[in-house]
Amino acid sequence: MRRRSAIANRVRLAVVGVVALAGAAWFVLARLGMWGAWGLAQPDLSTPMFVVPAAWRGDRASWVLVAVGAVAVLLGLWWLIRQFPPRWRVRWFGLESDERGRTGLSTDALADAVADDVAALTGVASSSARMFGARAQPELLMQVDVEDGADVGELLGAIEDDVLPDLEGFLDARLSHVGVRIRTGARIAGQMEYAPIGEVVAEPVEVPQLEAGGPPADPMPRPTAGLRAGEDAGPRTRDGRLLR
Amino acid sequence: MSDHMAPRLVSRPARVLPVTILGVLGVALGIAALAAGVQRLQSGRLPEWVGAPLHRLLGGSALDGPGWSARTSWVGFAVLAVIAVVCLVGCLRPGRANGVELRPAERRAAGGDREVVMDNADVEGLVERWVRAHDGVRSVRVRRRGRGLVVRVRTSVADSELLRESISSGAGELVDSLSPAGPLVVRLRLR
Repeated sequence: MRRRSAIANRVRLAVVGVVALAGAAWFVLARLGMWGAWGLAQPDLSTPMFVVPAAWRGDRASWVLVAVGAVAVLLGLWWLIRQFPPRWRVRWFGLESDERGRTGLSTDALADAVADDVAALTGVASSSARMFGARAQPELLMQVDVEDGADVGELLGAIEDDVLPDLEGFLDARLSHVGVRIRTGARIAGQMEYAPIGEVVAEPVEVPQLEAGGPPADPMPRPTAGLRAGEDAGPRTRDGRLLR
Repeated sequence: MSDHMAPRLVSRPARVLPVTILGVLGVALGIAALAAGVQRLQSGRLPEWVGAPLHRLLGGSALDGPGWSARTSWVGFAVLAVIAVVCLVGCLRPGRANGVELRPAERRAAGGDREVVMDNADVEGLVERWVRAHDGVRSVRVRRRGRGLVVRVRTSVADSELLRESISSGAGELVDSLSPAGPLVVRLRLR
């Protein structure tokens, strides 16, 4: 729908551009005397560019001014109003209807449920969804915020295999259009920052115990303030023995 | 034209700004013309706020145009020519698409009407963060240009061949892993 507005805007710009270009070209060609050279009516350059005839100088000129002003205002307003995008979003999908009343479903509730399903997939930080169309011909737009290291192909596969079939089953209709916008750079709470592909992740190194028998009873280092300088000075183990 | 109600996610600029400017100009000039015309009908002459500037510009009656050699004419038509060029360029230039359409294998198998999109800023940010994490990279800037992704990297490494090779192949793999629908070539500029 947005595309139609874009095409109309291009047509509007083209019309204004061609009219303005024609006006500018007419002036330049007249100044260069080209109209006469081509056998066309060459304006007299010693007179004003245009002269309003005497018969039109009275009220007619005022009416022309009013008419031109009205057309410009209407055209300008029409162009401005057409810039607002149409709202095609639907609030309700009708499920059942009989003489006692109608049963409907809030599309916001449905979209929230879909968004929650997608947000639970691996690599997804958050998600939002919006429904369009009708219950029998539903359309879905989703925005999925993923972490940088997420496998997009796998994520889309999970959406296709798990989330969308559930929605289609619930609505008892095939989704006629699904749009997914994926946004990168999201951080999932409690997860490490993104590491580039190929980066070597260090294996955990086992630190050997300095002495057998498990950790020392007192894990804090012994105070060294009172030690003599000389051979006793130097790095020590947790329980105060000198490291040689 | 798409046959669905939901808006398309990948789009080119809709020229809203230039048309809005033209619309506002049209409304403003139209209101001025309407007011001047109504006042002229009532009093027989143009209001002072229109008449005085017109007299100054045209150098005579407001109903007669300026002379062909007058500076007003040249300036007026030069402005007209500029407006024409701006409008025609705005109309003819296709403009930059706001995102990259992706087509992973799973989507092809599923069929149906699917549109998977990543905005330019997100693709640029993804590659930018990936390159920035490399040792020796001082600064990096990624921009989408047409069917390519231009990666500008400043490095503090004297012999940057290894870094060039690593970033170039890695960034290409990263972009390929997104499965863009069209070609998206990574061009690296290392300094």
